[in-house]
Formats: sequence, C-alpha cells, structure tokens
Amino acid sequence: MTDELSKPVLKPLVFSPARIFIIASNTVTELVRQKVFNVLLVFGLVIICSSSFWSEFSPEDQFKFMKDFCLGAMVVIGAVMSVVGTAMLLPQELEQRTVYTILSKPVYRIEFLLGKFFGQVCVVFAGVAMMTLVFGGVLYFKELSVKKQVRAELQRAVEVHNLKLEDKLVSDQMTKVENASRDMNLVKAILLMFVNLLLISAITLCISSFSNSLVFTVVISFMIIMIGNMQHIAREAWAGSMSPIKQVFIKVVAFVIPDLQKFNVADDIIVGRVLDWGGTSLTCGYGLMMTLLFLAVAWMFFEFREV
Amino acid sequence: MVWVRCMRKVIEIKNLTKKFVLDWRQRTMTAVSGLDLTVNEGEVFGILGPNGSGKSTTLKVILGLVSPTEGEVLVQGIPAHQVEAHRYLGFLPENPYFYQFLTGEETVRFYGRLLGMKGKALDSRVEELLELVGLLDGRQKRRLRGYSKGMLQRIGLAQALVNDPPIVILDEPTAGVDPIGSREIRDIILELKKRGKTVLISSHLLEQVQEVCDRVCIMDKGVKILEGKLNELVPLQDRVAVTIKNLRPEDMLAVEELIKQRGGEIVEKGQPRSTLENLFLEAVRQRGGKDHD
Repeated sequence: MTDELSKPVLKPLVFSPARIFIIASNTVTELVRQKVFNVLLVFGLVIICSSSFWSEFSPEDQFKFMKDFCLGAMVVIGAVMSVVGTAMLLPQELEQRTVYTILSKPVYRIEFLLGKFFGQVCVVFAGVAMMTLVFGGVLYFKELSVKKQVRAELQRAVEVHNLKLEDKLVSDQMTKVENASRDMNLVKAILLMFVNLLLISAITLCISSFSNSLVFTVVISFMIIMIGNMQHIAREAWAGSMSPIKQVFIKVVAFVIPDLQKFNVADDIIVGRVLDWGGTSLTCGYGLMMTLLFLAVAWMFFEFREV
Repeated sequence: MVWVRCMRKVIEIKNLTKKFVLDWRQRTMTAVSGLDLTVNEGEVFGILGPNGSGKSTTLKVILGLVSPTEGEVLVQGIPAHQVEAHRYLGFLPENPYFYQFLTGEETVRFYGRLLGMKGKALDSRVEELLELVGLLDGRQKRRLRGYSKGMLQRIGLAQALVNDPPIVILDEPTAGVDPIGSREIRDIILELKKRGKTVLISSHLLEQVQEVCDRVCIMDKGVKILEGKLNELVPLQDRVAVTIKNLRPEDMLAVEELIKQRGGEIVEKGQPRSTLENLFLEAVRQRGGKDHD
C-alpha cells in the first residue's frame, strides 16, 4: 500500500478563476497573432467605411442605409469571427498536443474550456468594439457632410427665389439631420449583437466539444445560426395550418436551437420603431441564459472526452 | 509547499485494460490489456516496447487524459483521473509542440503561472530551469516557431519540472534528438534521480534507457511481457568480460590455454571499439561545437 505520509502536504485544489484568466489571456495572444482574425477585422472595417460613399439617396435614406448596411456587416463579420475562432480552439489544442501539457497539470477541464471560451469572446468583442467605433466615426462625418450639403441646398434655393434664409429653417433642417443620424436604438442594437455573438460562440464550442472535425463544427454551427435566424419565419408560415407533426417539429427546433432573430433589431431601427430597455434587457437575459446552457452541455461533453 | 519524507509505491497500475472504440459499430481496439505495474519512489522506471505496444496509452491513463476501460490507476494513492493526482506529476509529451507564438521563457512562465507560481519565485524558477536544460543563453527569448526538435524537447522538460513535482513522466524524451541533446537529457534524468525524484520513461530506444533505468517493463501489443530490475535482467550470469591493455600475442595464447585448463570457454574475442556515439561526441567537442541546436 502507498504510505499516506509519503504524500506532500498540499492545500485542497479548488476551482480557480485565476487559472481561467491565465488560459484566456494566452488564448487572446494566440488569436490576435492569427492572420485570419486580422484579415476579417480589416475587411469589416473597410465595409463599414465604404458605406459612407453611397450618396445618391435622400439625406434621411442615406442614414437608414448606413445603419442597415453597417449593422448587417458587423453581425456577419462578428458571426464569422465567433464561429471560425471558436471552432479552431479545441482542434488546434488537440492536434498540437498542447492540451496534454495543460490537462496533465492540476487544471480542471471546465477551467480550460472557460479560459479558451473567454479568450475567444474577448477577441471577438474587441473586434466588434473597433467596428462600432469606426461605425460611429463614419456616422459622425456623414452627419457633418450631410449638414453641409443641406445648408448649401438651402442657400441655393434662397438665392434662386430671392428670399431671406431664416435661422429657424436652418436649425430645423439641422435637427432633422441629427435625428436621422443619432439614434439611441443603435446602442441597444449593438448590445444585443454582443449577446448574440456570445451565444453563437457558446453554440460553436458546444459542437466542438464532441466533434473531431473542424469542418463539421463550422458547417453545423452556421446551419444552427441559419435555422436560429429563420425559425420565426417557419412559425409564422405554418401558424395558419399547423398540423400536429409541424407543431411538434417547430417545438423541438425552438427547444434545441435558440431564436437568434430576437437579437436582430436592425429592421426595427430602419423603420424607426423605438426599442425599450425592458425588452432589450429581457432579450439579453434570454441570450445569457442560453449561453450558460450551451456552455454546460459543452462542459459535459468535454469532461468525458478522451484527448 | 512542504514535502514530507516519502517511501514506496508512487504509481500503482492494477489490471489496467484500455480499449478504444473505432467506429459507430462499436468495434474496439485493445491498446493495453490486464497490465499490473508498480513504480516505486525515487527510482527511474522504463516502459519499453515497439511502436503500438501500449506505452503512450498507459502514460495517458496515468495522466488522466484517457480513462481505463477496466482496472485502476493510482498516483500517490489518488485515482489518476482526479485532478488532485496531477499535482504530483510533471509530464513531457512525445514530440512536444507547445504554443508556437510564445518564446521559450514565456512558455515556461505560462505553465508556472498555471500552477499558481508568481513574482520572484516564478522568475527564479524559470531562470533555474532554463539553465538546467541549457537554454539560458539568449535562445530563451526566441519564439518556439524557430526552435529545433531538440530545443523543444528541452523546453518540454523545463515545463514538466516547473512546479518541482515528485514524479516526472517522460514520453520518448530523446526521440529525434541528436546524440549531444540525448546525452544531456540523460544527464538531467540522472540529476533528477539524485534529487530523489521518481522518473517514468517510455521509450523504444533501448540503449539509452539501459543507461538510466533502475527497473524496466517490456510491453508488446498491449501486454506486459517482462518486468524487473535492470541489473538482474541484462547481465549474462555465467559470463565475464575482461579488457586487457598491452598484452603480447604469446601471452594471449597462454591466457587462452589457462582458461581451457580451468574449464572455461572463450565465447567471443576481439578488439574493443569505441561506440559511434562516443566518436561523434568527441568529434563535435573537438570542434568546440556547443551550439549544435
């Protein structure tokens, strides 16, 4: 028998946020130094900047177009970064055998999994934050240019009709431009986008925790994102003639795949619908709850996975 | 950490069987079958065998990376699948890759931080280990992307020792390493033994294992076929070898005659040669080739 006295005297090993932080910061360094992430980010920034060159619409429509175009680009680039980045996390560790040296140390598998997840999420968030800043800048400069354009048009109209330019008229027009440009709903839309990307990363990690193939993980994740964004269409289309089979199918899909359309509020912003904070908070809560659920399932699979 | 005076069995493998499921039809492949093994404290133990004999699988079970299909593995009396058991282990995997974007120093530091080390204690430990593995010469500042296999192996050894574990597990530590690196790794293993560490080595390079191990176990196709102390297994009990210097041919004939008279038999006779390894080391040393990596 092994003599108990021979064992070194150590404190009990407990779950450690510090270890998660160390693994997360290492993951951030790893991802930041990958070309694919930087290329995606640059691509996103170029798309956002290019939105300001569309000037054949009316001033109001220009802002609508910019918001629609930029929010769409941010969601797509963010989703690609989330899926590709997360899908690569575990296969890379397994292929390069770095996982052996980490999991053979006193590190719980959940700590490893969360460390990788949070590292990836930090990089995606930083990318989306950069795109948000550039989007804000593009909107601001567009506002300045539209104001200048409106003022010039007013001046021209006054000269043609030989009228006097009233300050109130100018001020009203400027306020109109500002209202079209500055929209608090954008803040809520971007907040929802962050939660959406968090959830997409958790879904991808969940698939990656049992999958042996990077391609399988990426394809299935994008399929889930697609179904998650379109399940409301099926619900609405089948609402009139719901056969029991379709009802069960829709319920199963709704149970397994989160309704990602809830996070897409770009259309509401375009039509000028006001998003209230209550609804936004509820949707965020739903997203965070689903994220936890997917992380728990990922942990369950990874805990028993043989590496 | 306080290490209390230790004793005997630090790793116990009882009737270990590991089967891997190959496909959806649940067909299995047996990697290890009914293995019983004990590693005692302070010894250098070698698991030998050809490729596919189950050595690496056995190590993975000890490290809790895969779970046994049957049987039990204990590390310091703790089931190997429990994370608690990993606190007593340091591990160098076969062909270690690590994070290519980190430097050698950053790699050792990363693993040290993961083990809860920080501040000056971590700084001095990292320096000490880099010196031990011979990389404290500027090369520790280079990214691992530019490291040779031998240098990666050294960094692997440094990370395995970062928390000064009582048990060190080395999977093919000299595979792909040149003779100088191989000799240095051998010296490090002997140094670890001197410091009272238990070392478990898996290898198929028999000559190198013979130089460092106290006990060995030979596996083939997942089954243990031989186990014992090296000094009991290797020597041919009924034979003796003598190397004589400056003996004239006529005296040699007299010696042979005497051996025959006393009932002995000369099985082999010849001129001893230096090993190719010694020749290589000597040649490189003469050129002052220290920077072989």
